[in-house]
Amino acid sequence: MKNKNFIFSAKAVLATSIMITGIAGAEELPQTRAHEQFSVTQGFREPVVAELHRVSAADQSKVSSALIEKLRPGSAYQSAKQGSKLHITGKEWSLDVTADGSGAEYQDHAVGARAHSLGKPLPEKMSAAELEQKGRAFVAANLASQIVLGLHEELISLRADYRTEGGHDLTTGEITHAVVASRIVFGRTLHGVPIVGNGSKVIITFTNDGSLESFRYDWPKYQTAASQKVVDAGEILSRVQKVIGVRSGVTAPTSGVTVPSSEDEAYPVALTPNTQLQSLDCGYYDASSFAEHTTQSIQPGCTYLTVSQDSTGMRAGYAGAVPAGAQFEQESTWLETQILSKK
Amino acid sequence: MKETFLAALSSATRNALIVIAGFTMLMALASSATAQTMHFGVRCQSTFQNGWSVTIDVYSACDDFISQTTPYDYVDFYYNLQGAQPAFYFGQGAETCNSCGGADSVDFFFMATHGGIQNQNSAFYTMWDYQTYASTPSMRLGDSGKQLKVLATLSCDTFKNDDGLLWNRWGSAFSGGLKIGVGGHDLLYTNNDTQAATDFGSYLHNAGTPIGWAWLDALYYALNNNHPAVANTGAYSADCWNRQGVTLNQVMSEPILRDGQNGYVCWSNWN
Repeated sequence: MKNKNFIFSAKAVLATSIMITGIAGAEELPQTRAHEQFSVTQGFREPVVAELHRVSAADQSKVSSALIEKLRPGSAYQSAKQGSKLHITGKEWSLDVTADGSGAEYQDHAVGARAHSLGKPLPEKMSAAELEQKGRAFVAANLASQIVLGLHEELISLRADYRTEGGHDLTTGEITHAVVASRIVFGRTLHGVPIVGNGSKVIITFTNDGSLESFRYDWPKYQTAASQKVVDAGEILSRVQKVIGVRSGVTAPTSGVTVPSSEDEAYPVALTPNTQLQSLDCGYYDASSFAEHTTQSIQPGCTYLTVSQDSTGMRAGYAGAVPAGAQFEQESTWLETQILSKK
Repeated sequence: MKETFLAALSSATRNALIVIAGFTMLMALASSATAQTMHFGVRCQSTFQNGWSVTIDVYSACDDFISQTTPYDYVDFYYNLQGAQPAFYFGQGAETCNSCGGADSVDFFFMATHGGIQNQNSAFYTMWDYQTYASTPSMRLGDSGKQLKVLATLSCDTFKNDDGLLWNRWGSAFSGGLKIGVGGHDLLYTNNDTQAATDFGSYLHNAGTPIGWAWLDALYYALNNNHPAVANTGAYSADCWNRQGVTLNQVMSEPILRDGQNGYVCWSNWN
């Protein structure tokens, strides 16, 4: 059995000619990062936050008909149930609508297939501002019946992401890179408090010629229910620390987590000697109608991203959400509420 | 419950089998599949011997991937990664042995475990066994047995490509004729929700959806912070990009490229 010996020392540069032009990567928008910094230093702005309930948005057949009328008027298609979703296929496109009608996903395979031929150098990628503008225009023109804002609700841009390509000619050694598609992610705030998790998201993808390649949204109506008193940032971080200890099988240290004193230097936060918190995002936690186990009750919570790294450099990423209520409801489908309910 | 079951088996056998309840029934369901039916193999590992590496919950995701696959294709095995290193290594009997969970004993191999890059020339996957890894330089996938076509790995970092060294790490594995590999070019986060594996299995069986695209969007939509990647080879640039668009229905008949027939390697990432 072969054991692995890590070699981190620098080695000779490859003989092949490598031209790396940089990576487009993801672009978390400034307001998103600012909220994550606020979350890890302050938690919530208000000490009491309402619970929400997802309300069934619409009949999935009606939603699909409305979307097809906008996107593919007069087009032939077939529909079938695929699990709880309604799956519709046309010539080189498909549409799925979730069981409660609040979520849909559309893909244009023909546009996707030509994305490569429209590739651009990475520095010429669509800017986040341009993406936001195109995204908002698309929502207004095509999704206005589905992406409806209630009282005190706002559609906010969260991040811009890019699909990049690389190619390596094995004869010449030349390596090339291109950006071929751009994605804007919108979210929602209610009374200024964001919905975190995959719920209340609108994700729209464009190719470089501005064509729509795909979109996916989850956009329920919410009803306000009882309120929960929320815990402070220190307790939230302690909960993340405990959860990660259980999930990773590593005993969490007895010492608590130090709340960062400055938003500017908020991340990373050490949870254990080998594990760091990369981001924390507090609001109403909604897993979305696309999740395997959707819950109708939406409680205050904070999504987290952590990464652990062992002595050899191997990494493991953990994502999830901790409840933020001082007295939260235990959900059978929300792992962290079960972990934290155990004494 | 599954982990208890695993723990009990671990002392009994080096190659403990995770047999999902009703596996036989699921295979029966697959019997109505068409001539294009593929053979899948699944190997996943959440906990590691004496805790030598941190726990990750991947069994739920693997269960859900299988649930999405069995209505259409055969899932020949669902094993953990105890004593599994030979199942990936060229020339080892286990590599082509279906009952051993060999990578080259199926058409499509799905795996979930830790992964990483070792140096400029190697990517690796962690086995259950203490400090034991399956490293890409010892792999030559697709060359023997059932000739693996697709390798899908829910693991961090193994498809790192921003340093221009993807081929250094994966050249040996792809030289056997492997047609498509998918994984992470950076972190892929484990999550309580199994949406990524479920969606991947679902997308794969949607007509017209390329395998690589199915992976990229399944992982991205599950968590926008994920870093999914797809990589494949071609005789030349245009051929490589055409082959990246292959669907599950097409991959069986896609020409095999081995060794010097591979003139180009291409990859796509989100984030």
